[in-house]
Amino acid sequence: MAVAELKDVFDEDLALKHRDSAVVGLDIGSRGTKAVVFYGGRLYYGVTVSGISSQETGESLINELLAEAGIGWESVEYLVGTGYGRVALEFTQVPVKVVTEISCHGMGAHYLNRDVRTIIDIGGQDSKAIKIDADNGKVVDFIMNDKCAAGTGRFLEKVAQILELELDELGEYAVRSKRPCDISSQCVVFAESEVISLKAKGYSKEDIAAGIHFATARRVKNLLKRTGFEDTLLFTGGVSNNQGMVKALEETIGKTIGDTRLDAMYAGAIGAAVFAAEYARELTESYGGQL
Amino acid sequence: MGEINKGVTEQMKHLEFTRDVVHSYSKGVKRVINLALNYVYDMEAEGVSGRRNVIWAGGLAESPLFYACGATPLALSELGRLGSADAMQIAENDFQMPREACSMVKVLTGEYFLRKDSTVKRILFRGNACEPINMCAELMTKYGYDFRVLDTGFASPDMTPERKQALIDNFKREVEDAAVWISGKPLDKARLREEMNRYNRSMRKVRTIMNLRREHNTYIRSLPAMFIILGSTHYFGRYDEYMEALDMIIEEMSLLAPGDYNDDSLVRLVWSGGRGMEFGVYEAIDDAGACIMGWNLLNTFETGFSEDPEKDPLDAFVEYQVGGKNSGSVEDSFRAMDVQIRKSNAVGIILYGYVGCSMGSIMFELQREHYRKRGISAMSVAGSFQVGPPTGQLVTRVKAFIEMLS
Repeated sequence: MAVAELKDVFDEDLALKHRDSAVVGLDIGSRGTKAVVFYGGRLYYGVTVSGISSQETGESLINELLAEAGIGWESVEYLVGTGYGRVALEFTQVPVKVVTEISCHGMGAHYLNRDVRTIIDIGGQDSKAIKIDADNGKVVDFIMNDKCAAGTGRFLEKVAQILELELDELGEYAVRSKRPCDISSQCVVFAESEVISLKAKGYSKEDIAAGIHFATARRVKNLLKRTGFEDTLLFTGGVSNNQGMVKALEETIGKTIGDTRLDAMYAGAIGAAVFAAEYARELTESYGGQL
Repeated sequence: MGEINKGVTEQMKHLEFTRDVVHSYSKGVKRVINLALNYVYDMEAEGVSGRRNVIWAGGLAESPLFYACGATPLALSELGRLGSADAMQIAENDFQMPREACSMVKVLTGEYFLRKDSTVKRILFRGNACEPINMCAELMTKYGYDFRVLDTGFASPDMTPERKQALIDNFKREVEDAAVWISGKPLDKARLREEMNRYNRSMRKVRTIMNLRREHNTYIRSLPAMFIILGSTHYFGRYDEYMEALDMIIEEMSLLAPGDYNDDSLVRLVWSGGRGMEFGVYEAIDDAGACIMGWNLLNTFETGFSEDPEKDPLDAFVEYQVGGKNSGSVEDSFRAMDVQIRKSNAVGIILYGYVGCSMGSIMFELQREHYRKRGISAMSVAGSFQVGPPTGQLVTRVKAFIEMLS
């Protein structure tokens, strides 16, 4: 669990918009669950491993954040859920809506860096290229990868297993590589056997790991070709913390990934909280400001 | 078989839910859904018992030929609605169809195999639609199916008149031969004219409903609207009952006051491509605050056969199909799509194809790019031909697309 002043994470005008918000954004990914709470001009945020029950994982994480903020559920005006596990959410304590992770990542990226126009989001199950309107964070186009694990966090996880590395280590190994292996397969099943064969031939874990990251980056570049690319580029999603992937993407695309003042893996949850604040305002207005 | 039946049952329940709960106010919609639900079972039973000459077919604009020959087309699209995960497994395991191969072809192969002892055993497909589907039917000849292709050429817009005439002449010969194959008798042109007129009547009624729907966009939600259109060409094997159901809907909607069953805030979409069998997608669209108001399907309800009494009926039958968008190019499809966009004031297009359909995926990219340049957002999605809930990814894409347009 951690806390930051909204104005230290977002641009001042955006932070001001949420000075009085008391909302929750919950992003339940296939691998990690991220939650943020906007309260008292502060941002409370945390991440945990997604459990079997999206509801239990989400609820427990939010409870911790609310405790950190020193408030209870009764103070929360609205909750927006997003991500892979959003469909299973059921909160009776507060008004709830679900918004797709595409819209949430778009909005969250806009809040984290308002120059952003293009987003690469690589999660555990899929990868996406999203274009947004830099004026308001609204999605203007997006492409999701097909029903295939290549180019996703799951793919990297599988390779880490074969290389007998922890997932966190895979990126670190890749960054150390001097001569990344050439992984030609676009299919995860074939790439898997290619990795085993490279391992058998004695290539280093560093070079194989780097090769895999570049293969994934090439696949993501194809997504960007379809949406079109405009500066600034931001990398969000669970894989955005992987330095090997950042390096591979920057080299493959030929662009530097934009900066944020908070870990970009929280983009989905932040976007969800921004939508929650919007819905809370609409709800209040529908009751003549009496709510 | 438990799992399969569960999937099929769930889909049937979805249709029953839309009939009994969502559209409980409309007797006409109820009738159409009942016809759709009973179509395959009824026609198979009547065909197998010999009470009708029933033939598996594409069930599109060629349907008047079947009826003119005293036969009933049993549309393959409806078999998809009954298709199961089991059928897919048979295609992959027993027929060695790759996992990446077309979902439609695989499920039909499996279903025809599973039904080999209980269904009608004649198949007549048009050859212009899809090569792999003909391969599926060819495979089935080993299991006692009698299969024939009605070969139709592609008429591209820049084709020379001579080339187009050659295509028409060839298709005419094909139709005449097919008539003999269907009924054992030469084509009765007077009967064909009658059937084309009946087909045109069906199209006019569906057009009327779709026009009324633009004024009352929540009266018929997306799923039953698709079934109304699906029935427009083959009438679910029961022309009079289908016409009666359409008349009931027209009457119901004509009585609505302006503004009744209408929500101007809904995002207006055009659905283009395949007739999705994952019914949850339609529900997701409706629930996300959108409505499908334009349909660019193989069922071209916006047009019909020539009714010129001076025209030879066979010429009218053949020219309509060779010149139609179904046998033409992507360019022809753009024209049909433009009509739907204009009529429905759509702000977005959903291009729906089946997983593994290489033909569809290439065309969708061309279409997507074409409309993007014109400032209309289009999204291509690949779904399954067999029944079952849509994947989370598919629903996410559809919802995100609607959020983007909202």
